[in-house]
Amino acid sequence: MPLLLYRRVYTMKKKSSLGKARERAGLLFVLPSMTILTIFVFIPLIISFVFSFFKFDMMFNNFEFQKLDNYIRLFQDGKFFNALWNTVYYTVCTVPVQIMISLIVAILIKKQSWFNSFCKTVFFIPAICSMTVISIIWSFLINKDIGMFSYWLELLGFEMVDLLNSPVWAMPTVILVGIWKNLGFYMVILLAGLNGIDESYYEAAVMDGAGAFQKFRKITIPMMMPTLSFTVVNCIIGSFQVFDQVYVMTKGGPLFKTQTLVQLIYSTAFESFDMGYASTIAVALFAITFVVSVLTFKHMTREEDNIA
Amino acid sequence: MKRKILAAGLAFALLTTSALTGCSGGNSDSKESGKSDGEKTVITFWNGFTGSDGETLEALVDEYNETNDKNIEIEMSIMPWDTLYQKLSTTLAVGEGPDIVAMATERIRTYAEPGAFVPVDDAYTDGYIEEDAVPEVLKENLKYDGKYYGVPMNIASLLLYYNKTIFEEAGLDPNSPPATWEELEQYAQQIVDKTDKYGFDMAVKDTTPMWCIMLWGNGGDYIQDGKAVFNSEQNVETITRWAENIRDKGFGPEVLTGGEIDKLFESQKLGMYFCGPWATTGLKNAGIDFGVAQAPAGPAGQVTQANAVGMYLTSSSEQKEAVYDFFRWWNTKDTQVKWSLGTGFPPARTDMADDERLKENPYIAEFSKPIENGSKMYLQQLSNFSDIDTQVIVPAFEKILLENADVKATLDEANKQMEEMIK
Repeated sequence: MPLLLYRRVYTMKKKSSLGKARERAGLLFVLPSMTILTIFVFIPLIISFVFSFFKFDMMFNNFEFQKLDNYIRLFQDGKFFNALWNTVYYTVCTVPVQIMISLIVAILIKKQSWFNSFCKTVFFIPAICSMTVISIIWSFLINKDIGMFSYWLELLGFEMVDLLNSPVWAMPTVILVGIWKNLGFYMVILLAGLNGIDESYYEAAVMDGAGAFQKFRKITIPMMMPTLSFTVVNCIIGSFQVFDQVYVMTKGGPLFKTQTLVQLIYSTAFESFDMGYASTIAVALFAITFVVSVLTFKHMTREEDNIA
Repeated sequence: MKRKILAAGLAFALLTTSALTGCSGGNSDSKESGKSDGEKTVITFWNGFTGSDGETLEALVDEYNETNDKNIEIEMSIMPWDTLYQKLSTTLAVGEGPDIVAMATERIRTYAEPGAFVPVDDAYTDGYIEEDAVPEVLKENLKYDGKYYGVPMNIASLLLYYNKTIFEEAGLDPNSPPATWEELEQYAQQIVDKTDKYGFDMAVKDTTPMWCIMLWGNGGDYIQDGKAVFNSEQNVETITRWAENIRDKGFGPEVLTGGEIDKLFESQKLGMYFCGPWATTGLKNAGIDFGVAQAPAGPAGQVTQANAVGMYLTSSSEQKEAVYDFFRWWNTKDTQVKWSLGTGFPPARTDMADDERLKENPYIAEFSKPIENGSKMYLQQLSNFSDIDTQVIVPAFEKILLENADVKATLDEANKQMEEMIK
């Protein structure tokens, strides 16, 4: 996100010749949010980086400098790699499916009509609900013994799998709930992108004899590239930080099959009270997310430039 | 027009979500903690009694605030337990924690060791708490390193709940619950065979421990004299037997959380399970015809799990005297009677068995019995209770029940991990 902003600001600056005074005015405008970011993001970031080299107790006493021991422990920690694998599993499944479904839905309900507006509202409701509430509701719905879905399946003659207690199915279930919740959010962003495409491109393409798929491939996708790259990067970052639905639906179980990195950080910090090592994992997560988003963003903007 | 509909829809959605999530926000003005408001001494008290017992607790705290003659006001915040632990770890470190915290006794050492809780020996020696009235099983577990760190808040034992309607449906006598493991197995099998209900089950995670009742019933344990004994011969035998019953004979779903097993019993799909006194009120109100019985005796005798919540004075508090006054008031007979009758919990005192007032609720006497004699507490006195429970014991049961893993090998591995962790 900040990267994206930076790039936009940077290109703007290049194009228009802003004077020094206006630049100062610009800085003044970002000052409030910079202050908040500094206090709540940058300073904690630095502190947890420092903490990641220490071991200390719940009362923040008995600080012991660990040199690189926390990091060495990290690379030998089966739990960390398990959580990393689960997080990657979550991300790799979520991002493409999420973006694809959201895009398809956005295209389907793009036209202004009473029905489409209704759909937009309905799809958007989960996006503004708390993930905790959604996770609780879903856990009930799919519960093998008392869930509504299980009851319906039973009426149809099928037997429900105990999804959240199954080492195989727990993760896909959590992924689906995540996608279901965020559908509305990504749909709205993509809709805005879609509506930004001038109808005349499509009209011209039709004149040239383009079909629906060609219009999609040659006009919609290229024109949507900036929006898509934003949503993809956003979705990747969000997926790497997945926590709430896992915490509420499975607590990382069964057998740690849904334990993600943030969940591991949480349990290390607030259940084992090992704040130092929790910070080490957090730093690792930061590094991983940073590298992945930068690479994705670079790749997507290159696509963008190629097209333009 | 369309836009208006959309806006109205969104506004409605926002409204419902904020209503749904509204209950999650806790009252956190801990800054007022310990400061006198005029002449008033304000004491903050955090706990996790979010269930129906929370109402009784709130009423009692209100009563204390109105009636105490020392002008003390208890400002109580009830939040889910996990939120409580999380908030404690960030507030206690900077001295902004509550004056009083209530939590299960197995967590005492986690907080006492780094000095987040402070010793309260003088509450006992100065007569605020009558030591003789504290149940024996609880006494040792309110201590760490030989010092008292807590005073009783509540104590409970688990009994076998059984659904009389399901018993009748299966052709069993609804007035004679199983008394031994053999009978329990036989009854459960009969329920499974003759009805479409589950017979008997035990929750594995996020629950008050149930499997320990079986382990102890066969003479096994988790940790003895500071050594891990999870892979003992008796435990292998016990777990093999009951895993087969649950998993292979279909007595019940393999891995349940405490919440799930409660719901299963509430919805009359489960014939028998272990639970504490907190379930009686809800089940009665739901119109379920159930009974409670002492846990069926295993080969090594009859035993059940007792668990207790203590109240602790935190290092953030500067109002020890006022805190002790509340501790005293809470543990008086009168308050204990009101707490017992309101919640179904037995009183946390041993000298009230004959109290006429308690006879109003017949369950109280049943749940009191094992506390006197015949109950143990789960994984006490550890500095890392939560890690050992959630990272070693629960996964071992999951492996056995879900993946059919070899019992001996699984317990051997878990025992090794446990040894590492209690070193």
